[in-house]
Amino acid sequence: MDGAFLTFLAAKGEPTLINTGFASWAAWVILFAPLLVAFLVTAVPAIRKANGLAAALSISSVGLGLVLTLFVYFFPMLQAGDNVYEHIVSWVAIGDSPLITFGTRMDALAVTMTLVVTGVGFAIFVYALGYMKGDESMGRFYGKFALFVFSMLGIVMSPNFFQTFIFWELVGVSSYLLIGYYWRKHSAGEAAKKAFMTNRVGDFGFLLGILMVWAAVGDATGAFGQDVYSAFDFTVIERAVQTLGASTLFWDSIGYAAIAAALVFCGAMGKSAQFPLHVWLPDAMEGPTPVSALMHAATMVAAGVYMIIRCNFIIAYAEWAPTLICWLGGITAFIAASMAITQNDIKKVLAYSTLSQLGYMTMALGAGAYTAAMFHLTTHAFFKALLFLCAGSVIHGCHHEQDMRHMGGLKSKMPTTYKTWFVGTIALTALLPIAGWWSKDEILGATRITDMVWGSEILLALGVLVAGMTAFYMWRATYMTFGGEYRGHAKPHESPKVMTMPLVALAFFSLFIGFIGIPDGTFGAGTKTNWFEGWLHHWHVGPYAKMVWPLAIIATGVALVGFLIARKIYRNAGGNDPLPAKLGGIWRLWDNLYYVDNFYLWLVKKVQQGVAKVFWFFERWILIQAVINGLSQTVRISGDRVRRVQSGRLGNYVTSFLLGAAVVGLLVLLQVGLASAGGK
Amino acid sequence: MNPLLLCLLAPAAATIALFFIDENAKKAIRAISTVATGLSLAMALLMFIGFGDYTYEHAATAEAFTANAGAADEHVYKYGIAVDWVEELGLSFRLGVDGMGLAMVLLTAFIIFCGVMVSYGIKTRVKEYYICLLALVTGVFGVFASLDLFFYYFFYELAVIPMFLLIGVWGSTTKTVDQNYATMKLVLLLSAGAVFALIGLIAVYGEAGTFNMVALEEHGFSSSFQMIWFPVVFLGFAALVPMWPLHSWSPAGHAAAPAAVSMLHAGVLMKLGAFGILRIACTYFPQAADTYLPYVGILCCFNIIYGGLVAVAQRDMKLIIGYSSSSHMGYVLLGVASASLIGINGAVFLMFAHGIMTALAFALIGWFYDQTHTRMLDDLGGMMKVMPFAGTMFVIASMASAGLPGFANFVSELMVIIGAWDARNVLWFGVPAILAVWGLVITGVYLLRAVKDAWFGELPERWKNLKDQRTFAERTPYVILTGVLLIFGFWPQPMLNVVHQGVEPLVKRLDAGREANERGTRNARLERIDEPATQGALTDGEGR
Repeated sequence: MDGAFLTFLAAKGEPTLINTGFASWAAWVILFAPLLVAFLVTAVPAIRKANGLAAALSISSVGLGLVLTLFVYFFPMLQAGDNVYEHIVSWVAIGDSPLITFGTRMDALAVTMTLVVTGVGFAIFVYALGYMKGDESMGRFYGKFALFVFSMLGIVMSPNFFQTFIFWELVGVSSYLLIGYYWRKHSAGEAAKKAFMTNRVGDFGFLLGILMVWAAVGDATGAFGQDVYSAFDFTVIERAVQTLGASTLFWDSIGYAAIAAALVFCGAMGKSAQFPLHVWLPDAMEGPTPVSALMHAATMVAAGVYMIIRCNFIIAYAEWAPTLICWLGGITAFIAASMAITQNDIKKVLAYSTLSQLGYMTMALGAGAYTAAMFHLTTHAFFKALLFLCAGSVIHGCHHEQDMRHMGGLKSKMPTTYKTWFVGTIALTALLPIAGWWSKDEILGATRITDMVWGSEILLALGVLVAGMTAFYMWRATYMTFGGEYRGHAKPHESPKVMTMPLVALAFFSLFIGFIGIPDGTFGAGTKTNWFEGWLHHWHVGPYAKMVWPLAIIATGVALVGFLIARKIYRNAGGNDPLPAKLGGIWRLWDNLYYVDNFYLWLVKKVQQGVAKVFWFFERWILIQAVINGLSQTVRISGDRVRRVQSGRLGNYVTSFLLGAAVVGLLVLLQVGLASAGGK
Repeated sequence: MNPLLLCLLAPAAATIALFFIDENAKKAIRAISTVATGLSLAMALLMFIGFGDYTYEHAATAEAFTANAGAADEHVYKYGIAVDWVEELGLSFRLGVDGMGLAMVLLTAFIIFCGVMVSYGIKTRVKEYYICLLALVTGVFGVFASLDLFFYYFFYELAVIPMFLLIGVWGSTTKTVDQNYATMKLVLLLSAGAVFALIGLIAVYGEAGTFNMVALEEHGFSSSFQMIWFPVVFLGFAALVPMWPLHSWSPAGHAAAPAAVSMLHAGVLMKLGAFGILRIACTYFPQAADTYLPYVGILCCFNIIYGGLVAVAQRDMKLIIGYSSSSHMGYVLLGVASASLIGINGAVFLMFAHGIMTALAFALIGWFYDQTHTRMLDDLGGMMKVMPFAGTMFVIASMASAGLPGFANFVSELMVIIGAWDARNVLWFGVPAILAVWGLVITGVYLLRAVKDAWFGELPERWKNLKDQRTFAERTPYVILTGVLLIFGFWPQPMLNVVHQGVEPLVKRLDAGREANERGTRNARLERIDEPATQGALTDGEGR
């Protein structure tokens, strides 16, 4: 970034960009250590084949990231002010003007997310040692897993939109590789493909959104004498929006800002699996369970939410875009919760639960409560990773059984797993004031307060309802898995220490992480709404998130009702689920996932393939057969005719000559005519 | 010795040398070919590294290769060499490269070096095969390096004729494509395009009276001349690119050709067309380019979307990659049509990246086709198990082709899209750019399907004994191509610096052409308006 621009920023006051110091170089190390490991593991056969070495390298690269991030977090200058540590180099320059820059950015938001990624990631990397034991290609697994951590951290630390897009795609690749890890299985290959393509569709909108913002900001910053090419930069976009106001900035026409924001949100819609692009996430459970825990629950699917928080200044001013986002979030939260009720695969329950919770976060984004979304993202990362790892432990203990109907009674057989699962479930269903209770109620509060969203009252009601549904399906799963008598065949056993230790650690955080968001007024006077809000408040526009106490009590009550119903139905149900008979048509609708997947399948199989076939038909029969081959036939036949032209008769030659001359003359005339018309 | 000349002479000399070698001395034949193309590659790399710092030792030589008259220190064409040949006709043998030309020379050098190594598996008529291959590549080097229209065309024809033999003799007939038909179609369409271009080139010579391409750049053709001859020259080259709807020769040609020829064909021959469009059509006729390029912006959308969807309908791997090539060349054309600095830089970079990527893909298809004798997705499956190396390489090629970050294709395709979006005022409100982004989705569809159906899943019993690349020599070409994609994907700047050197003057010309057109329109409007209103019309025109 050039000096003139830094001056321009400094003139605007905060934030201060600092591109030296511990935090800025530490960021490079945190980012690139996993890539280095991924490269070594993939490219050096000796390391890849020594499974233990590959695992050790991967785990230590993530561990190093965690330690360094903690140092950065306690780094006094970052704590003292709202400083940004940014270190940017030119990556693609056209001549002398940089088009795309590459850098690392460490601010409160990035540090929070990096802590989540490396912290949860470290626990899961250790856990995978036990879970993947006996897998002959464990080295390959860890290589890809490290590649994912690199890609994810790239999104987190990205200082500009383009870099975000780069890592966005890389995250997609690593997700594709890891979902398809068991590539001999047909379903795994299909799921990987589906995840990749669904995300691609989201990225289609995302890239267009980026281009729209880039064009608008580029034109606007040109007025400051700035290089238009730096217009991918978040800082530049933020300054431009705040200085000029969205209405001046997005000059073109009414709705430009909203369309751009909605398109940017498309990216989040794909990655964070929001309706209507939610279909890939449940299928992604084909990957190994540690992958589901880290990528498809805790971090990767949260990337969309994180990205929107990162560029919240675009969304917040964008006319109808917040309403759209909030509604899509609400719809996702509801339909996912309802689909979770019908699942019998323990991982699928959690997958739909993840969708539902991401829907909550998206609701918060629409309502303008960016801190609340980030708060829920953080707590959710811990307790959902915990739940997935517990599920993994159960699957491991039951010898690769995933169907809850063949489980039951594991409470006594797997005590540690049960206890930690219990903590995770409480945190998710928000029955007691730990983790999810604080963060979810903050989101509901934001939906109550907001004035950015049309119809927020309906969404609020939906949100409270989903709280009850969440409690219902989670306790349904708990009773089916851990309650009653064991119904399976293989003999279940508790998992080894290397797997239960991460469970305990994550359970610890699930218990206490919620307290960073306790409103200050709760235990005495305070100036900010809560500590987490104070830590992040510089990085978003709009109102502070608040806890609305009456609402929190109502939501807890509804969750309690959900819990009690689940207890009544499933406590003594054994392997039989009485619910399908009771719900009838609604169950079938939920069980068939609202027929969305069927619709997409039809779209791909019939519409896309149909269009392709039509084009192929055109290519094959019209273009090639009729035009090209027809032309060659014509040439052959006319060749026969032309032979007769060589007749020796003078008259014919004269005619041909005149014809030729006429053509040449015509061309000359055309040129003269154009010359007189064209002015030269 | 001039490295550019050496780069061209090495394969030429090897071609001649091979005539005198016993046809049973297969090892010697392979060694000579490898050394010759290796020398070309070394020279190309040498030029690439030294490009920024290169200066002419003699002022006289320098002047002959300075396109911008009056700016003697700006040598657009480097590594120049000029020998008079037929002075009466103004014919001289002139070589020299700007950034665009050098990028293409480097691309050719990489591909032919790897192509020669990939062809070690050829068993029949080895001697003739390598003679044809080296003659072909001599022609390609010549086209990219020539600065004389006569030799430009000469080298072009030199490239086409061996192509005919290579596909006709060493190619294969499959369920999907008949070899003889494909060969004839390819050569006829290539020649037809060439003849079209030739007519245009003769007209250029007739108008300017010189074959010297540096002088021609400065000639300044009248706008009426440009308007008539731009389409002729453009269409001649566009058939090579291949632009929709002139593309059908290309996928069929791929499908019938042996691996190394497919590599050269998709990797380099297609780029000859795009290179001709930039070097001749757009450079000589900037005013006409301004008028016509937006229409190219429409046709290239057909390339991207139509080509992609036709690829979706294919089950033959070579046809998939073949139509995918025609789809990707649509991006190149889109970059050209944007007429912007970012777009054309991206287009030339994409020519390089796509060339390497597609060569890699065709080499891999050739590898397993030699063993399976089928390329149909329905017959294949699970090959990752027996060919982990080839499979990994194919996944990499697919990822690169699908425009994923880390590969040169990503950077270049994104630059093309940004350029097209940047030029949305002249390029149909950005609709082609939007379609190009959608094209990335379509690319994902057919490539992931190919990867999944051929490499993943269960391995059929009859493919249990397929063999992977095991030895160092077998793996080298694939590692080189992948390495190039990754290096320029992570660190695109060196390539962009070189490319930019050639693109910048071209874009200046195009801008000047646009201004001249706007001036022309304004003057024409002024003439039509009565005297008193003139003042108003002028401000009106400038206010735009």
